[in-house]
Amino acid sequence: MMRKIVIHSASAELRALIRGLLSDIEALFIPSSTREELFRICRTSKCDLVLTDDVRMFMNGSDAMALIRQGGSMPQIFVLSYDLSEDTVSALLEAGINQFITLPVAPERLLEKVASRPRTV
Amino acid sequence: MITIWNEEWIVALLPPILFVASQAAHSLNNRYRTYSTTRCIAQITALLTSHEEPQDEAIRGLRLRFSSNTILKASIFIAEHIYGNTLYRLTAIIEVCEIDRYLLRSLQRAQGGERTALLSKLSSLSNLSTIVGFAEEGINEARRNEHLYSTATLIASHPERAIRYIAKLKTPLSLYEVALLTQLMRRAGTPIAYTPLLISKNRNLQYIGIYICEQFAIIDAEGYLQQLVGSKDDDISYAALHALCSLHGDLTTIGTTSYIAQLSPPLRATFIRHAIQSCYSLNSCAHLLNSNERRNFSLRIESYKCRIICN
Repeated sequence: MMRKIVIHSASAELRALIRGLLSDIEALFIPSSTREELFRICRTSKCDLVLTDDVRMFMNGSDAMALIRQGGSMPQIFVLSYDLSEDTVSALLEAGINQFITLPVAPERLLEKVASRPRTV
Repeated sequence: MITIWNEEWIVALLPPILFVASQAAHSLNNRYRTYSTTRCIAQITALLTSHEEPQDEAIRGLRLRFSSNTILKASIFIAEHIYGNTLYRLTAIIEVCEIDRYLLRSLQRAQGGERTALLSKLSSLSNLSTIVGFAEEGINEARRNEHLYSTATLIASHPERAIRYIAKLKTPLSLYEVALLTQLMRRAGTPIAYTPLLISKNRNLQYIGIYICEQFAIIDAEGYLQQLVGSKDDDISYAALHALCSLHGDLTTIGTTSYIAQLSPPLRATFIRHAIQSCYSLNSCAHLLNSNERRNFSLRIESYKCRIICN
């Protein structure tokens, strides 16, 4: 089955850029511009990976994480951010994200990280 | 029969109708621009990630589909979000589409803040031969921002000469500007030797050296930082103390102790907060503090512990 990758960002430009950089991966890319849309996608279709630049979503407890990983679905979550502060990174890791990727990103490295993730069973 | 559409009603309704119409037009225009930039980013990214070197004809196709301004916006967006070898392909795209010439023409017309904004865009688009000459002229500008961003552009184009360009800067750099210039040097992969920077007589180079030591946690630089604490320049002294504290250096030396003793109350409070964040214990800082500050120090440590546990 084809992998399902959700690209979540309020910026249409960033979604287009990430989609373009990952064009070598055979997967179904689902864009999402709002949190509600992201939670709905995660609820209705079992996705394998969520790529997001929304750091604040994970800053108020584990609500967002529970909504993304609901109904037995356990997608990997990669967060892209310019904010490298120790507090932010540790808070995100404690919230349960799988990877923290700093921006600006090296295209080859992003591709490698996304491609190497195994499909969620 | 009552006439509803008399003149007064129309006059009264006209301003809100015009307002709503203008807002709708503005919103539509913004949406179209975003849509156009997004499509352009997608097409440029496809060229960047293609397995074969993109042909000039394929690149020129962009010019037919998008305006120069859209390609410029898309290129800047991409340049700010990715780094590495792929940027060399982006440079080729910019040159073939003549976006650098378009940017230079815009620069020649622009004044003041708009000119500064365009110069900052130039620094995002590195390795363009056409812009170097222009930026070299800008380095002699009297206006601070133009002077600074021209330097940033030159550093982006020739990172190996970064130190030489920074040494020529006539105005003292702020912390933000130091971070910006260092980021440009890092993006280009320039090897940064901190020792010549720290022992330099130039204030801006010293500031960059201190910033590098702090960001890369260069513990070996402690001796140099100790010497810089208490130098004539207040900014440099405080930055050196801050870096020393971040590296968990020795705060018991005579120079450091006497400098901390003469700090102004707000700077002293900021320093104490930073010392706690850098995990100094009350015992190691007790000799620097008065009784009131010691009490605050221990209370703040407790509050940090509480935050760590509650998180």
